[in-house]
Amino acid sequence: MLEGIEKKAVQVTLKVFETMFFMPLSVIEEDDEATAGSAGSNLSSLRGEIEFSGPSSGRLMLSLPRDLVNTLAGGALSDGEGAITEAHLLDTVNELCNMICGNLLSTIDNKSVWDLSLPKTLSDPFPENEGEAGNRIVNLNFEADDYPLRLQIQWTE
Amino acid sequence: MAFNVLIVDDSQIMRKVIQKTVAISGFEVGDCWEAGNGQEALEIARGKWIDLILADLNMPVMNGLEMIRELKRDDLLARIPVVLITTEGSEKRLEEIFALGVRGYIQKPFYPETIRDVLEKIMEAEGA
Repeated sequence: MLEGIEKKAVQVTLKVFETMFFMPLSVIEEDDEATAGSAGSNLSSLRGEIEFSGPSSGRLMLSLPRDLVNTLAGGALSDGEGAITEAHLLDTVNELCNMICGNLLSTIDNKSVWDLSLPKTLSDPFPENEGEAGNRIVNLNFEADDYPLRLQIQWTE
Repeated sequence: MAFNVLIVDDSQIMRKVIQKTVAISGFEVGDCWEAGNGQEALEIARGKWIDLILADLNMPVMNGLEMIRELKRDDLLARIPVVLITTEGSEKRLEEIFALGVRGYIQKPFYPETIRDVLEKIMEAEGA
């Protein structure tokens, strides 16, 4: 079921950012990850997280710089709707997680029903412990507008 | 002809994205109302003339399916076509929502053309 999961996750993530927020992403290959990591290390980030269950279960996490989230939220809101608030930023990250996760799961298996938790957004970085033993972990790195983004999916069969 | 639309989604950002995409699509909107959950949507629908409801599925307080069931129980509101805009895409879930009388379904993320095609087809079928 998880064959080609990395490719599917990349396609879905690119589509969500480009279609809903008009923000093109580029994939960072493994060789460039160290550079991307150091470039984004000083940026304040937000980390969204959503859990899923169904034919298999797990969680998806998305980390992106606060400045980039601010740009995405500003693009969605019209002029004259007031300043961008912290709630707008959390809302944006939550919705990104929801759309990427929901689309990815239906791409993997659209016959089964998947249940998604309500997404939540935290200000802390990705946890050092990258999942429990036996979990399948998918790590993907992207760049948008010179900002680094990181997506991680943890699967427990 | 312009239609009065009610957008129901717990994400304010997503409500704005939907509103903008509908505008870009060329589908003509008159008044556009927003609700953060099914309960708020029912209150607005009882007080305003709404031609079309665009609703998310997963929302706190009252989700999209509960809202549709309430709409169908109300003789005055049952006429309003509902289109779900959600990340859900499983065949079983689609069977469930269409059995409730949902008129259309759009999966997020969506293109303006998709929105326009679905909404125009539904409103044409309504005789508008």
